[in-house]
Amino acid sequence: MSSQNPNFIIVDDSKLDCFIAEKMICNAGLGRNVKSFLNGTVALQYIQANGVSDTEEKLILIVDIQMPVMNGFEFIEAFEKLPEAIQNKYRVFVLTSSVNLNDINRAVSYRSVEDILSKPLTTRKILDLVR
Amino acid sequence: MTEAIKILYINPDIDSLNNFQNQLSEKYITFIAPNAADARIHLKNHPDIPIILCTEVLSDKNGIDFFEEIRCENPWALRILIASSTGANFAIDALNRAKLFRIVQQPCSYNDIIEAVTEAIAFCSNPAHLLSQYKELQKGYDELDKFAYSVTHDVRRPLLSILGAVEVAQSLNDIAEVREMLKMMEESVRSMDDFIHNIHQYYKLKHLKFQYEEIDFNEIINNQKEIFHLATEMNNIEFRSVVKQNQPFKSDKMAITLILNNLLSNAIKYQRKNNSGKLVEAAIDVEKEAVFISIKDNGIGIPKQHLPEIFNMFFRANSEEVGSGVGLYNVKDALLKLNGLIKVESKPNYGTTFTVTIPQNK
Repeated sequence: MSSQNPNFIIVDDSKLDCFIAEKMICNAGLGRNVKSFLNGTVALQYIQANGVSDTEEKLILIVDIQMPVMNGFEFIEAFEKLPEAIQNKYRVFVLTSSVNLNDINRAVSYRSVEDILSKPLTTRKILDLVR
Repeated sequence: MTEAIKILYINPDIDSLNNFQNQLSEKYITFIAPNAADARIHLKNHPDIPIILCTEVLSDKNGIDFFEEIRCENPWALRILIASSTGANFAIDALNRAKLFRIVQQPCSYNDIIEAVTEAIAFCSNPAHLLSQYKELQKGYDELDKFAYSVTHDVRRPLLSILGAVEVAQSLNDIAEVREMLKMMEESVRSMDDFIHNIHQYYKLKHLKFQYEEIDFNEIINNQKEIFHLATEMNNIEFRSVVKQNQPFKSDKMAITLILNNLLSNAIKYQRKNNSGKLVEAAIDVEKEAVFISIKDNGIGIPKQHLPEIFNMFFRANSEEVGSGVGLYNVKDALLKLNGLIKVESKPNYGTTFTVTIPQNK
């Protein structure tokens, strides 16, 4: 499962949170290729266009729940409708500041979601993902 | 209903009050007051009084004004006006302003009053009436739920962002990067402050009584220009305004300012970043009966499918800019209280125009 140089995709409508995530990934020594999206729709288009990778390496996809226009849940539902070959390329994590149990239970109920991360993201949490 | 019904009767005629109490106090819990001030004390102690009768003329107040005032705090009470004035215009005005259950025309016999009370009691116990009360309550409850959810999220989220940023900033050596970080932290703090400000306005709208005074629209627009001066300068936005006011206009200044401030703030916020001719136009035309306001921008616009939702609480149609999702809700709420109207026309990438009509409060 673990990989030396995973790529990361961050989907979060807050510029600051994207920036923090990028920095934390960098600080963890993993930041080869981090891509941030402020908008779920654009991120999905990117994932779709990016297609299937030729390597075994999985990308880590970190998605915020509360976003306007397309929220994290809607994003994950749309993601799970993508061709399986594309889905298999990603490990999906939900990142949230929510303390609402309904939100958290709903997030873990998705087949594709591996775990929930609470904000703020730290180097420690990033390292645990790839360990 | 198993509990005895409470009835409040306001009449400057003491005999009539005593008579009322003698006759009805066996079956109902009666409260009597010779003037509006005493009536308010009863309502303060018993906010659940479901039936209120009041004569048109009181020593300290007009009965219709009194009803209009207590409508916010006691929305479910059935209001019965004992009117001395006559005429259709009077009745229509009274019904509209005080949202009356019934008007009893003076001179009236004691039986006329009892009949109105009986009818009101029957209405109170009617399942349909209870259902509509229940629906109102449910609506308030849902709103509260949404409110609690949003408050935790909207307040906690920027805080956590700042916390994360503080941690990141500690490991940064490049001062330029630290500055960039600080700039983003500032945005987070601002968004939180905006949110709290909006919630405060929400509270004020829900609970404060409107104060009607003469409105000088030139003054309000000039104040708004000052407030947005920095934002328009920094983002190269031209702010044009035309105010036509040749007559006095009476309304609530706080509500009018809130409406203009929120619409202008949106017009300034939701601009297209690369547009070289960013423009916000405010046009205000004060006519005898109403004021017509239009706030127009050539910004990003609102997709058609989101238009029906923009006035909903906590709705946000855009992810690029920081919004609380409370601003337009407050605008709609203020207009509801002013009996005003709002219309929106929008086309993505061309801009948005809000048109507002507010009738004069005489």
